[in-house]
Amino acid sequence: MRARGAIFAVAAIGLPAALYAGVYSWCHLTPQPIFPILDGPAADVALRWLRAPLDNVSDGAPLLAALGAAGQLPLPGPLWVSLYLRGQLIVRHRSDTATVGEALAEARRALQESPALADLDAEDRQAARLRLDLMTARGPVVMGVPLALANSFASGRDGVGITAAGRLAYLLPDDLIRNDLLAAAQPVAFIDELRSGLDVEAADQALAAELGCAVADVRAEHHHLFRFRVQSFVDSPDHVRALPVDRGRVPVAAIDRESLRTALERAADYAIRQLRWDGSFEYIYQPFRHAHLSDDYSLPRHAGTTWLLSLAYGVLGHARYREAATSAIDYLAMHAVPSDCQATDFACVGSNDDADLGSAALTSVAIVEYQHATGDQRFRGLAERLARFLLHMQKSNGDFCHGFVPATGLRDCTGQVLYYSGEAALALAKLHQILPDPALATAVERALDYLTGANYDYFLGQFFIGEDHWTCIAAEAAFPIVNKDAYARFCYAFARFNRRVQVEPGRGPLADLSGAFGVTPFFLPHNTPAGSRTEANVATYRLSVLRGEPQPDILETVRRSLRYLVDQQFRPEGMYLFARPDAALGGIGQTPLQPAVRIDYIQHVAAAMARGLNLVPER
Amino acid sequence: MGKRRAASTAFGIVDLALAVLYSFLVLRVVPSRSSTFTVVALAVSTLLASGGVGMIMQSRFGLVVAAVAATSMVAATVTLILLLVASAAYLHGIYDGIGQAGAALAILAALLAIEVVGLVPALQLVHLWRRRREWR
Repeated sequence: MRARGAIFAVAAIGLPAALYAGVYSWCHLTPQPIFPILDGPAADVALRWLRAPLDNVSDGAPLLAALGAAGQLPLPGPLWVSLYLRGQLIVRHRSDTATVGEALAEARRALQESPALADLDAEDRQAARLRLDLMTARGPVVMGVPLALANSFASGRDGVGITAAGRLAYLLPDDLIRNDLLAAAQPVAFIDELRSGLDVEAADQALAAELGCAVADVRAEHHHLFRFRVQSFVDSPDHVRALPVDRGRVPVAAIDRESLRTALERAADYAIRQLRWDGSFEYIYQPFRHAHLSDDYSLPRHAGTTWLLSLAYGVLGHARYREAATSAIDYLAMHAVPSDCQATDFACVGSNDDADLGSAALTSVAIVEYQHATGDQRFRGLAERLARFLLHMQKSNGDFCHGFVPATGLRDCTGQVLYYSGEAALALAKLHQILPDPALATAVERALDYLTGANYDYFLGQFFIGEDHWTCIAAEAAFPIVNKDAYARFCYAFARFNRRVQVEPGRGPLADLSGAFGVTPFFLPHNTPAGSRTEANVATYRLSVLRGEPQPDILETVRRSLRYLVDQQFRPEGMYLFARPDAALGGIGQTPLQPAVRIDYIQHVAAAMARGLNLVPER
Repeated sequence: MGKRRAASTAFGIVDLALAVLYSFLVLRVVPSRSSTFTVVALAVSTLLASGGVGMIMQSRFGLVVAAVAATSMVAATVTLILLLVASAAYLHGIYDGIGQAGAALAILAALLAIEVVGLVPALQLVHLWRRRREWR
């Protein structure tokens, strides 16, 4: 009996363990012993040498002599050289030779002989960027289960390859990114928003185009699909250095105050470039196509971005930010206060059919920040009327009604919109800075009491915290009015939660995205929450300092996420996949692989940079 | 003897209820894009329902059908757990780790598989084992 139990125990543990080890070793990409194939100096030499035909310069030293031992290194797979001009792939050559030196020589010959290269004028040649990819490993993928196949490629790092029609075809990680083939599969049929993994159908089409065969031929050869990983470099904009590339971007190892200041300035300038003649913003920008979208324009996001401009003016002092903030607030005053709210003693923001709490709250925040930064009191009257509206919207329990119908003058307390109550608490605290009305102080206290107390006063509420970044920003802003342990404890808990889900440097599959907030590599972290939680963490750290109990862990969380945000920003070193790098400069994409920029991405990220600037060491 | 017969009937009712629940989940709540998965899941539900009827009828043949159904369900649970292990290993190999959420979901799925799919059939097999003398 005992022996039977022992056999059962061994089988119960041993069988799964053996299965795990077997599957893992089958599919894990084992980098070649020589990985990385090229070190930085060798990559510099290689890209400069490849670029010579573009720059019409003499060859200089022979390649192999310049490369040294690197030129003789064996290649575990193909080497690709791609030339991008304003996001368009102009030339690509794949070498399947045995050594690095041979492959580079073949690639340069291909560049020299390319008719597309001959057509480029001097300006284009200067703007064109060279990218070098060297395969380091390849591995199998599972077939037959569509969801498993879609998730068989590490996003942004793996390419897709296939043997079909007697030939090999490859889609490099860049190809998957710029064709928007990643984060595309829908694992749960009824949750359209939840997407992860490769768009296999679109990848099949791209592979078929590469091979010059029918899509059906590619599908018929699915059992010959594989994934592969590359070591990648892109030449710097001045074409002097080779910059390493990971997930389509040039990583930033560390930041200091000056680099963060530069990032903030670029972000604020990006926001200014989105400003239209009437003071509204271009809502969404798609860098791959240089296209703007303004569907479903959001007034709270407009107001939030306006707040950022005033913050940037306060920190950087450039007049252009003040002018842009004035224009954006003018838009709110002239176009966003509906006629039914113009003759009243209060002001709302929205339309005659539908005004909301969040728009009024963030407009108030933007006006107070503007007045604080510039001393200009031209919008004070509007702020006073917005303050009366916010007070009117507060409920007896400290929470707020989130809707208002100007045509009837009635509050709509039926629905709750994420963020609005926290935004209103912040607005009341900020308004008190320019309108020392005791009613505002009382209202802030009641709002924060609710948000940090009764809002979570149910069984499950003790186990989680929602997206309460506005609450903690409000708690810091309210400190001169009301300082309660409960607010600090709540925000410390929120910061601890953030810390737990923050990607740590040098650990795990998302280590290159350290500082972001995420818990699994299947869904890459989003950049907006990284910005908004950093805003909250900055506020919480400041609150802890004001209370005389500075929290070093929160400071470390802030510094890590600020590095991540700078890393994610569109900087001159990267952007070789974008149609108009000058237009995208300073922007922040939705995720590391989805570069579409909505104005609130910039708002949260740049506000975090502005408010966290002094928390980053000068060196 | 009466208690065991009552327990058999109760197991039969639970089997039928689970068969209906699995069918509802597969067809309505979380429909799969894979028709193979749907067919297999419905076949399992049918087998379970057959076992449930067998437990309620309590004829010798009915109890044999129930034993086969319960054994199949326990085997399915073991297979499901091994597939989960293989999936976790596969994703670990692809992504160099599955993260906290991935690990938590894999463990949760394994525990749910045991609780939702395997527990009742395992208890049912124990019950049928104890009744085996009545068949002889």
